[in-house]
Amino acid sequence: MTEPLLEVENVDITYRMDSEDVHAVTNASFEIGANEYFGLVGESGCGKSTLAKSVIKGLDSNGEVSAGTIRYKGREIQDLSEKEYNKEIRWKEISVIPQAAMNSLNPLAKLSDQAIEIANVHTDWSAEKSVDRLKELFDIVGLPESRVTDYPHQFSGGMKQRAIIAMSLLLNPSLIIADEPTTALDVIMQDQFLKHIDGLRDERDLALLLITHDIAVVFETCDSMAVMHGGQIAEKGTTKEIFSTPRHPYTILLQQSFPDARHPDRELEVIEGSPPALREEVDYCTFASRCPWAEQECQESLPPIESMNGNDSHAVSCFRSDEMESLASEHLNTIGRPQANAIENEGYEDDD
Amino acid sequence: MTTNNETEPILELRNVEKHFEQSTNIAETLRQTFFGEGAQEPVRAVDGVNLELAENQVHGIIGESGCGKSTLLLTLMGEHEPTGGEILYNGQPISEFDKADWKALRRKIQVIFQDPFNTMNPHFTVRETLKEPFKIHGIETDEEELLDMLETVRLTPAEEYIDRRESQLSGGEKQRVSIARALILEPDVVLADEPVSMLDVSTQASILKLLSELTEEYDVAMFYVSHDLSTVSYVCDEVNVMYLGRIVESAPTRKILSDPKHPYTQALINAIPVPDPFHDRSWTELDGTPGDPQNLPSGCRFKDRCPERMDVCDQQPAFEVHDEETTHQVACHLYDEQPVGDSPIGVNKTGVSES
Ligand SMILES: Nc1ncnc2c1ncn2[C@@H]1O[C@H](COP(=O)(O)OP(=O)(O)OP(=O)(O)O)[C@@H](O)[C@H]1O
Ligand SMILES: Nc1ncnc2c1ncn2[C@@H]1O[C@H](COP(=O)(O)OP(=O)(O)OP(=O)(O)O)[C@@H](O)[C@H]1O
Ligand code: SF4
Ligand SMILES: [Mg+2]
Ligand SMILES: [Mg+2]
Repeated sequence: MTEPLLEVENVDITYRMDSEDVHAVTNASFEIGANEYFGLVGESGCGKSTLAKSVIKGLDSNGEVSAGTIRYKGREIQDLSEKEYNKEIRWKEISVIPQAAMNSLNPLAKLSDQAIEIANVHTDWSAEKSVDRLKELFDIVGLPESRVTDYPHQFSGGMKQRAIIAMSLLLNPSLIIADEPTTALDVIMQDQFLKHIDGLRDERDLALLLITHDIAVVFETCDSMAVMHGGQIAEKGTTKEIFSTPRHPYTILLQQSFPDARHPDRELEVIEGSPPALREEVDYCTFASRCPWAEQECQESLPPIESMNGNDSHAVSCFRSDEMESLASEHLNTIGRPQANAIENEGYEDDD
Repeated sequence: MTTNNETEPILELRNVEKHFEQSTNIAETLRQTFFGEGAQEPVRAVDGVNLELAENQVHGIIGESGCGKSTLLLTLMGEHEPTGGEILYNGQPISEFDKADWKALRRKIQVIFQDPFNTMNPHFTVRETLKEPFKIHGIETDEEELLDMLETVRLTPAEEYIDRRESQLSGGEKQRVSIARALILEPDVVLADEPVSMLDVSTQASILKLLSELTEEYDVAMFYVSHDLSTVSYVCDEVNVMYLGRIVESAPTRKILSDPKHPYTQALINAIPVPDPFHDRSWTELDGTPGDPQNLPSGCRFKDRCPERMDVCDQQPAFEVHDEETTHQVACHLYDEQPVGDSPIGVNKTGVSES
């Protein structure tokens, strides 16, 4: 593999509190390659936004990257000052589609003026060039070019979203980070948004970090993914690997807690318990208190992240990952996933 | 108020309308100001809705953004006065309620609001947020009760959460606080506006289960509003699909999922992401903009986006029972019994002409 675009390596993130600190992320590592669409999933509070914010210098003032490195195109960025980051990386290299995306546009300024403003801060482009660029991008996301001079409120919700995608592409970044971009949208708008995001793959060299609690969205849109639990990366791999051969207990149970419109009658698994409060240094598996297969060891030390079957892409952070296939066989069987050999067979079709 | 009688629905909507005279849409207002356009048509956010909710029943109201779901709920809880039709609570028209009736009603009907980011007062701790309903209704409470409620919505250990403020909670944690707040007075009816849309799915599953257990346990009836058909089977007995202010399809949950009739319902189901990277679902073909409730087309309101559109769709389709056995109702000309030309039956199949 060529050099990854973004490398997050053994990162810890801590929020300083008056009483006890919150160890929101522990020993997180993942990589995103150029042009790769990467999904980060996990339940509420598991640290997804915290991890994403650490990449874009957006952590709350009481939060800090307390260990590890974050490299973008080979360069360490976790210690950049905000000023350096703004100057060299924001918009140009990494841009963000924020959580409440629909409200992220300035309601008082024309979109063209917002584009001029952004370009003005980060580049030496002329106003004309900025607007031309926005027009091109409007075309790509399926908005009429003539509407670049509209105010955001003149757009419907779906159009606003596309305008935000266009804006995020303005300075031709190599990576877009989208934190729950579709959570507030209805299914049809979500589907349109994903259709446009998916369409961009053919248009340009772009990588995506897509953060969501919706594993289905990641399975449909992304090449690779990581599953987080309690501030730890439980498992990562290609979406097909995670789907077909999940080996972390959380991933296995998570998949079964998912409604699948194709099987409305399937009983949903509820993952009992809740993740630990993370008030002390985390030196244990944060899933241990909820895990049906936990052993003494799981409470006592941090499980290392190990690759599966000598496979580079697929890695699991669980002491018992080698045994999971048989330990969790009951759970694995009911999902009706294709057998491992189906992965190689590209012609696989769901014949449900 | 009269007491509830077994057969009577606890909440009944008869042809309820909520039209807004003045648009709050800034674009519209600007257009009026700058281009001197005349008076606007009213925004017909809710336009003739009939529903019945019996004790212990959970009805889903499903539809895309802007179709009028929240407006309908706000009308039910008395925030908006209906501009037409009648709402009955335990058989009593609420238009005849006096002040005391309203106060009692506001305790008996509780709402779980859509947006957890704006539900909680940022200056309040979780404790203060949960105490507020007691204060409003002048009821005593103790710490124990608050902690129990937090445990019920799985904010555990409750002691960890009770002193936190909004900024110290993740999105999903906030949503659970607003669910706790709505349930803490043990209401008769819960109006849940997208109660789980911000939660991750494993938490979703447990909250849905919890909501459905609570409706059983405390005889709580619920209107469950969502844009997402994939969660309804876990809570709802019946599903009503809403499009531009009207119910276009209604059936028992399983029936609607396995056999959707209305092209819009079909699109809603097709747009649900499938949790399987091997499955090749095609992206939605529906055009993004739902119609504008201020400029409603005549006839079927879905016609401009409908892949099945026919000439007859310029007339309003009647909302009819499609399947006697399951009370599956649908408003779509595809299900007119005879191919419609100028035949009198065809004309009969259409409802009253659009006003
Ligand atoms: N500024 C802060 N101070 C203290 N704790 C914080 C702060 N911000 C977040 N946390 C805590 O850190 C943990 C991770 O939060 P984060 O927002 O990253 O979760 P998330 O995975 O994005 O969740 P969601 O899906 O609900 O958005 C949570 O337990 C949260 O309560
Ligand atoms: N106070 C108001 N004045 C004028 N128009 C309004 C008002 N409140 C809502 N509307 C309009 O009524 C229509 C229905 O809005 P509503 O909020 O009920 O939709 P919704 O189905 O809840 O959508 P969402 O899924 O986005 O929450 C929209 O076109 C909206 O702009
Ligand atoms: S490390 Fe132990 S507790 Fe953690 S998931 Fe694996 S088996 Fe369960
Ligand atoms: Mg988040
Ligand atoms: Mg709403």
